[in-house]
Amino acid sequence: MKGEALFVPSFMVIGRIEAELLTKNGKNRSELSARPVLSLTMDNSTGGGPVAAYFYKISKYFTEKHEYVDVDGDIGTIGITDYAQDKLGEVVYVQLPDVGMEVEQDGEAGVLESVKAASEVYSPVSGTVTEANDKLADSPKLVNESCYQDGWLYKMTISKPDELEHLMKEADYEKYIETI
Amino acid sequence: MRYQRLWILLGSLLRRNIQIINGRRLSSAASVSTLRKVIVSTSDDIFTNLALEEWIYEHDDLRNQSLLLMWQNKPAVVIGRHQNPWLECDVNQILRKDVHLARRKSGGGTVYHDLGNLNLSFLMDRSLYDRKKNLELVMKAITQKWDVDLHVNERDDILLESFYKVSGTASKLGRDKTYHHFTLLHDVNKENVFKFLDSKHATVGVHSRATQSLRARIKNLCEADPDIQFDSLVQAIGKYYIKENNSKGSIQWIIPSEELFPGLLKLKHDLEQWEWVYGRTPKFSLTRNFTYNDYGEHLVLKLNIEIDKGLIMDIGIDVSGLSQEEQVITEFISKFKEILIGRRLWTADILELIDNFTRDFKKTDTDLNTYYPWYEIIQWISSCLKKTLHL
Repeated sequence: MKGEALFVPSFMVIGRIEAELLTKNGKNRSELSARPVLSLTMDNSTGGGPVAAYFYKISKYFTEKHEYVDVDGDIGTIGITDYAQDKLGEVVYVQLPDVGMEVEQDGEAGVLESVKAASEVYSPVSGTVTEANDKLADSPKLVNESCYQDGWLYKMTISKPDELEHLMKEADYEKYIETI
Repeated sequence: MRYQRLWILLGSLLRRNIQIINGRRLSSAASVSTLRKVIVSTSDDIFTNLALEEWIYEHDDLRNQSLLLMWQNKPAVVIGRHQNPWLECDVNQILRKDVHLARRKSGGGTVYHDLGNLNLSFLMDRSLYDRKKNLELVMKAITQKWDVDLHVNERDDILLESFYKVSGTASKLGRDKTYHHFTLLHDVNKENVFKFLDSKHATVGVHSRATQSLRARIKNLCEADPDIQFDSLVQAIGKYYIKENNSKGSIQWIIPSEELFPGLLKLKHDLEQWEWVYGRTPKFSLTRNFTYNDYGEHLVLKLNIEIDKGLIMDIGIDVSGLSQEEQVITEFISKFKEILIGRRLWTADILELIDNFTRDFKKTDTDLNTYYPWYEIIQWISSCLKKTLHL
């Protein structure tokens, strides 16, 4: 299914569906590219019945403080952005939240240590931690080498999906870091 | 399709607005006209001073005013946020000599403080974070007044005569605020530095992912000029800091009390807790092998101790080469493990526990060969365990 984008006529879509195709190339671009999701919408005005649509949904959201949340269903994978890891320098220790811990949006959820600096990590969304990236205990440098893939920090439930709306999407984030 | 494009267009317009807001916020935060204030703590207690620093960091509005906090402490060893006290310093000696052991909230390595050391903490808005700038400011303030040869190296250490370290740096970065603090050795007891920062744990057989300190040659600033002392440094650096950006005001000496800083005692209390100082140690393990050649027995003992959150989580005790009475030794080992697992790695308690248990261990089997040195063997196992834990 990947690579296909099938749009249903806009009048059949209820609610806000944002579909944006990422066409730019580059490593980060491809890492950031969205995955197709199945969306079922009920449209009573056109006679009812479910309308199935495959479309590319933006899955990564960014904070001003350079954390990202990669959304897959109701689970979010949290990490720091390429810009952030570059600013930090070599990460030597990663302190992650315990599984089962409840975190609030903007609440402290971990610490990254690099070149004598302890930088706090803030959760982009609220929810419960479901998994911590154990690989980082032995290889903290993964945060530098692969921040969007192997160097993710923790996974969590997304208890307030509305919070995502206040975060930036990739293109906005890219513009945002140019202003810093 | 047309409506969909409209949505996208609308979305990008909205985003552009957000960006303008962000841009404005950032430029105002990074403004050069930020006021500066200098405060010096009258306390010489490490926990009170670290709590004061944390209090200012949490409560002060650092958007419009940056702060320089200075203080000195009675003898204390201060470890970085993600360090292992057992591997960084001689914990037993520190406790015996009534020296404080504290864990900072910033990163970096272990330092020894006493009244011959000035602590400087630059607290500011995160957008102003620049460690080199702070270090250079201090360097300039000193070299302007005294004829000393100082440099800042690539590790953000201040070097005297391009070789001796006189300052160790660390920092903490939060959402909007940050502090960068560092030591300045002016007349520190160098013998104590070597004595307390010498871990009894060998580097072999230790598996730890905690941040490690780097050893450095040190020297005191008073060796370069005897006039460089706590008070003269506070005056020189404090005044230079205020003058540099044309801020008004003078150096304020403050008594860190609960009345002036509500909640200070709670912060101090939290910093003093075993759970913070020792319990925050990253998981580590100690592994050692021993041999026993006595009473005609040739034994090999493999010990592995896993420690997480400062607690003994697992002990592997593996003896091979036993010729007789394997059962009583096995029974001893399994009961021994039972009483140790889950305990805090707290020297006095563990030592007492090991000694008492070994002394009181009674053979339950009456058919034991009385000529077999089983009691000597279990005593040997206990002593090996104590050696591994360096008790």
